[in-house]
Amino acid sequence: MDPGESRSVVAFLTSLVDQVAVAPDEVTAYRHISAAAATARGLVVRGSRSFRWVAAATAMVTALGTGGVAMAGGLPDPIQTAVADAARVLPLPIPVPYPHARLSDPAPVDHPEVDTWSRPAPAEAMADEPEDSGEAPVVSAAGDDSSERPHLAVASDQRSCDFDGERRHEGKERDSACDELVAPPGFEQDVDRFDGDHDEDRDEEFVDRDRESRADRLSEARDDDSDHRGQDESDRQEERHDHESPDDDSSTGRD
Amino acid sequence: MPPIPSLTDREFSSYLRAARAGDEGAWRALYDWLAPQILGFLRSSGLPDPDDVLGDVFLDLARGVKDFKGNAKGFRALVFTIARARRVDEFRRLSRRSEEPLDAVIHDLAPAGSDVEHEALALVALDDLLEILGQLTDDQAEVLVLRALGGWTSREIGEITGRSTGAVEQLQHRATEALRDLLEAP
Repeated sequence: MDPGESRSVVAFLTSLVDQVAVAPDEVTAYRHISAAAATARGLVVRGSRSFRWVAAATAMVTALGTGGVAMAGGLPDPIQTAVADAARVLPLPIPVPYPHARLSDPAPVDHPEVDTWSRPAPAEAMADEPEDSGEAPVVSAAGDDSSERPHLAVASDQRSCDFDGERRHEGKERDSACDELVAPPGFEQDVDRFDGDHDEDRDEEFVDRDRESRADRLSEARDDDSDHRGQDESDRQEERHDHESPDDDSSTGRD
Repeated sequence: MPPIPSLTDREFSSYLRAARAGDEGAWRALYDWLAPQILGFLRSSGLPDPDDVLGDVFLDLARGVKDFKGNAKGFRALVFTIARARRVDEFRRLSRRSEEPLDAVIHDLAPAGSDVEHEALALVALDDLLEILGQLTDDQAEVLVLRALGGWTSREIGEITGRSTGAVEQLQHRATEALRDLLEAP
């Protein structure tokens, strides 16, 4: 207090300070101290929280980058296959290096020295199959690629035709499903023609057409034969005539 | 006037370093040093629940202790600044709720651990003191309390309250004359 202040003012302020400047009770003090210390510790943790944000952002960028490269098909084949297999639940068009080869399929034999004895060559596998097994023949749909990855092509086609139980027991659907993979475009009509499920009228029509064509071919053959026969006859007459004239000379000479 | 408790700068530096790491012992030392002054400042302002406001002050202090740079005196000034800001916020909140804080103030001013007779006398005395203090303007009462409780100079009070040194001296002079008139009036 300033020296000029009255004693009454000093006494008043001293009494006020004595009564109000009292520490809170111990429970309240402990609550305040604990909260302050926890807050200060939280600031330390909050400092590391920024690093967690950085880590999360880095992970997100990495995931997006990997996804983008995977969608472009630029990953190595095994990783690309794994990513595509994992992303099957998502509607993302991630290309697969081996369209029919998933992780559950046997791995392609890229190195012949590895496990070649247990995997028959494609030609052997085709030859070893029983001809009258009742199963649809396994034919590669990979085209020219079958020469590059024959084992994969056979395995994938076999799965596509055999793994579907409905197709296996419904012959027509199975054949058509396999024909999608097997039959060239020009043979589709023949396959339908010899299918047993067609009606008889169509078969009779086919038989009639076949008879007509046979009759036509026979008549054409006869015409050709008669033509050839007439021509042969005239040739023979000319030949005979050529032979007869020298004979006449010789006979005259002999005579 | 009671002496203002103080810490040496060396003690304060060690406490501050530990308090930044969340050490409860360091916070206990800082609390014992500052809490009575801050709580007296809040009580004399007529707040209905000064203990809760004191807790808010130390929470704000814990949030800002990481960035503090200075000595013990500067730290104490920071705490008073925070307490003043919280007091203003609390009065604004109370004015919106239109509550009457006087009864709560008297109830909270009861000294802990005292007997009933002493508590009754203290309540009467405090009631008289706060009634007299309440007849001053808020700015005058604030300057007087800061001068008496914190032992601050006019320049330091100006830094805490955001006023110039001359304005603080003018307020203190008017507050002293008004208080003397109230105390010495027949």
